[in-house]
Amino acid sequence: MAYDYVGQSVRRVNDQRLLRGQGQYIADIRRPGLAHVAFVRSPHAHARIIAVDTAPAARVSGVLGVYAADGIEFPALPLLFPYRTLDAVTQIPFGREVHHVGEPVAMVVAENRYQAEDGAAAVHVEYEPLPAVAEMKRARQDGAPRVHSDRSGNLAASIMQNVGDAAGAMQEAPIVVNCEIGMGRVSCAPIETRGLLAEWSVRSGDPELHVYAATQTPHMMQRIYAELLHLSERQIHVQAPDVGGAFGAKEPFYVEDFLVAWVSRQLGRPVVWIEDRLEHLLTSVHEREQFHQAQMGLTRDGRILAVIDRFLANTGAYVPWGVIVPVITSTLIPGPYKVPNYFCEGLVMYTNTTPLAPYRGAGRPQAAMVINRLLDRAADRLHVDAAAIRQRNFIQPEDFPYQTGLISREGTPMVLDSGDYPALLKTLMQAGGYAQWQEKKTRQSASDRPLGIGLAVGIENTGMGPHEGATVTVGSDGQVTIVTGAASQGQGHETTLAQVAAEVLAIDIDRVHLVEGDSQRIAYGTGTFASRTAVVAGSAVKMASEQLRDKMLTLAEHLLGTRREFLQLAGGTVRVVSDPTRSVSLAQLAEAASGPFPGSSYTLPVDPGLSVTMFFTPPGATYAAGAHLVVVEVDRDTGQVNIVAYTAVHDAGTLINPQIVTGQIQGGISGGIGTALLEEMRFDEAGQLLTGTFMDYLLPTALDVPDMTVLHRATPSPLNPLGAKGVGESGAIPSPSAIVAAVEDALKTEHAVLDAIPVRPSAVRQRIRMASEPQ
Amino acid sequence: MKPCAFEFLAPKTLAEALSVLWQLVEEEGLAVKLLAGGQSLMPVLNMRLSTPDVLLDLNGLQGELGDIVINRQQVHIGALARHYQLETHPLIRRHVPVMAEAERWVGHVAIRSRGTIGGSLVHADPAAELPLVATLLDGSMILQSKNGCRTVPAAEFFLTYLMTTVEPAEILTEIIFPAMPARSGQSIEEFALRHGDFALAVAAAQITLDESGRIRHSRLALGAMGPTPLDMSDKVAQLEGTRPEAAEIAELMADICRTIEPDGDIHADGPYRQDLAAVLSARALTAALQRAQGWTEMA
Repeated sequence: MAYDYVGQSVRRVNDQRLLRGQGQYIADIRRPGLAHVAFVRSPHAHARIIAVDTAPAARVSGVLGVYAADGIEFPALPLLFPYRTLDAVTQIPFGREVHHVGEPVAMVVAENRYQAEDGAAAVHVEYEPLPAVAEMKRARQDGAPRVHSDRSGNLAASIMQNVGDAAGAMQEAPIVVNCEIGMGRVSCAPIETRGLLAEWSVRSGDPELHVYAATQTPHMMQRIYAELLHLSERQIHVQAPDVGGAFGAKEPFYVEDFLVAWVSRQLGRPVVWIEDRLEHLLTSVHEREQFHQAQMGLTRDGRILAVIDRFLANTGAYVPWGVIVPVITSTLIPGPYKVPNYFCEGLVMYTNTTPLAPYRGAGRPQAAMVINRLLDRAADRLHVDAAAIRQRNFIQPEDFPYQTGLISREGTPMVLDSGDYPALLKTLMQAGGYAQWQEKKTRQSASDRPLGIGLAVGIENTGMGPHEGATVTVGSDGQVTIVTGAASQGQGHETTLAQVAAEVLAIDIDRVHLVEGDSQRIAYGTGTFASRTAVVAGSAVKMASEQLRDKMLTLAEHLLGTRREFLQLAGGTVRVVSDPTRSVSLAQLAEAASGPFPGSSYTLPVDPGLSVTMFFTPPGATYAAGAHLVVVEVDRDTGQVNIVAYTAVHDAGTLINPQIVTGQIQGGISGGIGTALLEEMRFDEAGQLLTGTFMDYLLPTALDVPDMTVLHRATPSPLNPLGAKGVGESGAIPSPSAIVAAVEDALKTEHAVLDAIPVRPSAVRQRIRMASEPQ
Repeated sequence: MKPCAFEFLAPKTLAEALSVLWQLVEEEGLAVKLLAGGQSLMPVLNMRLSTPDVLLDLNGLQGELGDIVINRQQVHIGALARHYQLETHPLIRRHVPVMAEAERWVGHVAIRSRGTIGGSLVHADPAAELPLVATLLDGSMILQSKNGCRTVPAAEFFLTYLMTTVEPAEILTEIIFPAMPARSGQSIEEFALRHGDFALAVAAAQITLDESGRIRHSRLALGAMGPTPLDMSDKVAQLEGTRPEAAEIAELMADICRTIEPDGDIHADGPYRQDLAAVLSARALTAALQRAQGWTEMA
């Protein structure tokens, strides 16, 4: 029997349970005496709270308590990601000034959610509206309203990257192309919205808080609760049960997280809050919104000499995850290409809108958009093929480790660890039928439904630190339990991490079980975001499993009286190779390692317990890569864009479970289709959200996502024992750029320039109409 | 997103429903909402855009109000007929084919399995398909109350956005459509940003030919262009007596649609909707014409 699980598409062990409705999400958890929260939220984008009248709400049937911005002083939420130039404003629970529509100004707790909403409707808040600014371009102007009244301006941070002499090289470049592009704001939109259940108890005379949270970062929540509530971490227990998707929305610590825990203590009852979809679209973090003006200088044979990019990024009213998103954008614009001279300046603006923080991709789709569209423009200008100009500029396989000259988001020199971009693109061209599509496009170019072909290559810094730990334990029944600080939101960790342990321990995978997302089961954890769990937690599981294996063999040597080179571990048993009747099972080993009966002496050559904890601390990011080829058909009469073919080739390093990796890429591409063609959170000038429901905020559905071909071309990472690279966000990165390029290509006859996404049919029609009108 | 408290009543017969409704509305002065398929009403209640005192559930009347029958070239459809029935029923497919075709554009399978024709017409969204089909074919709405019954033609039924002539104590019980005449074809063309979304523009057409193959009657209706579906049949009357080519129809529709002035919203500005109206109505008329040309006695 073979136990080489890594690399196999093992079926996801959780699917049966989840598809049968046996998942346990926050809204499924019942506690005796559970009370329900509804928030009263600001209808103004910027206002001062004059007074709150809670009395009518307190009289509503079933209402247990009403708490408001009037009379309670809380500290601001901690800043999670400091940055050198960041003038940070974090949210204050029940602050006296509201800075975007939807900020909580009061909360009502009642016996059920219906009554809580009845109560919320009865709270009367008197506001003094203040001038608001929703647009980042407007926020930057002199005389613009101030987002925060106590700040002198609206600049949150400025970001600069500088390699070589971009201005000088640009001046001397024989070919210069420009690209201006605005990227629309999107919502993370997981199926399960945010949610939180808090319950207090007393243990050994000390108060203890138990929180069930739909979160990506349970240990971080534990730490923040301890800080804000002036408790020790031992008094805080954060547990993430089944979490129904997150995509970034469940990364930051929100004011609701604090207020729900706080109010539970006030009331002395367990309290739950389930974010509804209106609240989600209004208050859970958004992303993507940036505006770039970029320039590329090249030689006449299409080699990049310099790139200069200036951009604006919107961070909304606060910086819940620092300015990580625009920082990542600034470091990844050169991407897989050699850019000898690079200058980038980003200005991050506060606006009176929902805060922005990482969403799947986190600044990288914007970076991929800038460099790939510049290369498309350059290819047009030089009359060379889009694939050829990319091949001409790739970092080559022999260049790794490749020093970019940039400073990464961690503040250290940015080095690309591995990759083979030329082969990636070559595989894509063949698998995607690039040449055949080009022919077909030419044949169809005069029709009402022309074809367009788009191409993009992007890279992703993944598997970042500081660490993730894993405890791998063999129980007295011979079953293996893995505990990690990561937290699954549907990624399939219970399958992939089990594969890693089962292979090392040569045991059937159904005897390996995963415990995750529980701050009391492992002391430290970073969490699941930034495409990191396979790499960091996966490596920790591998390391702990290897040590555990070593420990088991040492113990077996002792028990069987045979040296380990004559022993074989397989199928949950250690056997003497020459005499298989002499064996000891994992259960027996675990039993032995737990020690003999109480009162006796422990004499075994290993520490008690078949349990090992190891932490993996990655030395730096490992760089995944993806190349995408899209063919679209555009209906010239309606502006409708149909994706007729989609092919992606990805380098995710060593694959633990190819099917799960493929699924991640398909999901990422689906998000990319939304970003490119459909999704946009829109605010009016006063900061009112115009897309507050899924009727107006258009996610791609199964009907809008085409069949896609996803291939893998791995270069294992040298930076971790698995050779893995992160993949959770990869699909979302090159996709918007490839799709926009394809639409623009279909409109070649119209010489259309698409300078904003999402590209809606109305925009396509407008370009066609403009082209048909006499100049 | 939870509704306000309301009283829930579920009568078992139409007579009981009409009597209870009259009592609640006319005598007790209460705000009553009628629940059929709930596909528009439930979100409206959950968002507290409507806060009725009483919710009167009509689903117990399925036996009385769910039938589809043909009688003297008129198709009678009970108000509780579900979308999926309209999509699949042989009588509809044969005699009101544009309705069956329109149903493919109505939401998604889950919505079509619950939502009803009565609910859709009374909700009166000007971008919805069934109000458009009712306008195209001049369907008749049968409105009953405890005190009697009246018939309202589609042209008078839709007042403005989400508003109809139905009185608070009335129930829409049946809708009557003329069966498609001989030598006719019908068609509907819609454009939405995603399949199942409300239309940015939708056009439905019926063409009837004379024995020589010239157009005898042409009908056209447009949805999502204003507060109610637009009956454009007068405008396309100039096609009557002709045998137009597709290009001529497209040209005519481009001219005609210049006269309509749809409002813009975040999904489509006015000029784009106008563009779509011209394109879709030309496509619908052309397809209807082709179908009329292919019409056979036993079609």
